[in-house]
Amino acid sequence: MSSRETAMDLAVRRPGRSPSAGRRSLVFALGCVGVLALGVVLTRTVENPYIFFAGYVVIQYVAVATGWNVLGGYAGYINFGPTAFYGVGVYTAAFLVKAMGAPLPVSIAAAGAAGALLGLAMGWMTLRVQGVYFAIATIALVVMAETVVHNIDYLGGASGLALMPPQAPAWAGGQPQFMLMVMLAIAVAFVAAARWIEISAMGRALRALKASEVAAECAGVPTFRLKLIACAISGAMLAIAGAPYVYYASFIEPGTAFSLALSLNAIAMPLIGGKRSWVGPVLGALLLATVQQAASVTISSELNILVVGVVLIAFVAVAPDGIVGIVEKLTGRRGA
Amino acid sequence: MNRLVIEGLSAGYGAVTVLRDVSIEVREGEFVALLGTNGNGKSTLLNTVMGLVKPTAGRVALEWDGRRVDLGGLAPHAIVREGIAIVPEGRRLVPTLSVTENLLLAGSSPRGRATLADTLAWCFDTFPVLKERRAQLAGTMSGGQQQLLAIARALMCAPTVLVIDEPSVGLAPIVVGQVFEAIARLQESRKLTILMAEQSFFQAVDVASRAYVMQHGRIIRTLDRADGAIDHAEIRNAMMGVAAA
Repeated sequence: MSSRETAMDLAVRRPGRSPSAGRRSLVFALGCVGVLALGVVLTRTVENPYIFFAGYVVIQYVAVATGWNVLGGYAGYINFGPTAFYGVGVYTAAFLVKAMGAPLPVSIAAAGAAGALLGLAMGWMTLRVQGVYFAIATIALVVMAETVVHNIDYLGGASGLALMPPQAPAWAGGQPQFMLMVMLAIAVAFVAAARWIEISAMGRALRALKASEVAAECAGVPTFRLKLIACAISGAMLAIAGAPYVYYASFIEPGTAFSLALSLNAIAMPLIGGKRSWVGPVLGALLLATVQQAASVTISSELNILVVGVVLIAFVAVAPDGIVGIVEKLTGRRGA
Repeated sequence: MNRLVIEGLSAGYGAVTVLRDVSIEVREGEFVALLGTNGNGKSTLLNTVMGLVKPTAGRVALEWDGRRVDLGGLAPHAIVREGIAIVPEGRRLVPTLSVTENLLLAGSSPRGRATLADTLAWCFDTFPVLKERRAQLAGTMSGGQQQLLAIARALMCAPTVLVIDEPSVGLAPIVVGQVFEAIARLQESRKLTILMAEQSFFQAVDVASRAYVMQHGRIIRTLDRADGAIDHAEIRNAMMGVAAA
């Protein structure tokens, strides 16, 4: 074996090259297919429609948390206004439904484009400032987006908008079932995309710039462009997660589309699960959203936020690397 | 003639001007030493070459293979793409990435990509300690090992010009010797052009084709090997601000 090949072999963690990485990707792909199949089976067997509503909310949080984590976890830029992107996704879909009765795929594509553009614009204006300034700018973005919607009469302004979205196809067995499957497909696609980013050269470059932007620049990483790309991907994902809501609820209003609870959850879930890998946001969202759903039925719907707050404080204080970090520590695996 | 040329350069941080009318050149194949005690502008000059500090006047240009690229308005990664790589002061590795990942990070830059496998093999052969510790996190290695990794990382960018900022900082004297040896070997085996800032100047001067002495942000002395061996006493006097005897 030539020393050139040896060196590449030694460069083990090169994703997609080594046999073990290939096997892991295969297992992951099979897992994705399994989750989708499980979704189809459940929508055929479960009768109680509340399960579909609760399931939709939980899975939507998987998508939202994963989208947020691309910028907040991988690049280390904490976006405090994920709900701005989500809301833009909701209202992009609402506009298209009202204007032309757009089918769901069209709305999803348009919401993705709008979210990516907003992400680019936000990144272009704010990425030159770091830390707390970036966070403040993202909070302002929510206020701006909501104010804009308040002042557009066509979108119902502050009082909201009643819509007649296209109905689910007959084979789906009903609107709640169909929406659950759509959201599940979106979430699985996001998680797969996040995993791909993580194991690609882009993920390595993001980890580098998160640790030190000067170090990354010195290694030839175009940090500003990379951060813009992360903003656009994260923005697109958050907006896409919002688009199906319009087809689910036939009434939308700015208070729900730009809700503080969604922003808080989108940040809390990756922090609780662990920000470094795709596993974290998924775990965090499944746990936290399920607890919230249970709490809102059994105790009080207002208690949700309290639960999030307490759990978040506990994790930030005790386990800053989240559940994934705790597991890695217990099993002795390397934490990057 | 292929060269890195700096003409009438002024630069600083905000209201503070550090460099005043600095002109130097580094020709292909040369080893140029930039000497001076702390706080005289060596790092600022190198950081301006790399685009980390923006010039307020004057020019930094790379004239190579018949092209002239003005580096003044470029971002650091774009300057890396033009063929200049830096071994920064304090090494600036990514502490949370492994040795291999640090190397692959730099090797994935547009310029380094084509020769990535070859350069990686070369680095592992030349610095066996990096090969042994390839899976270790960069932040957990000793200072000397980190310095070697920083040099190897710069090489992964496939540079024609290597800029090295104070490689001896924070290293034990015996390790400094090893690092200088590695740099000298490198220059020969990889046909590099080197611009190195250093304050512990003895070893630097012995290999340098030319030395510039900086004081208060200006070049106060230029010593050329072509004019005969560079005299240590003369440099020391210049650095300490003592008039030549």
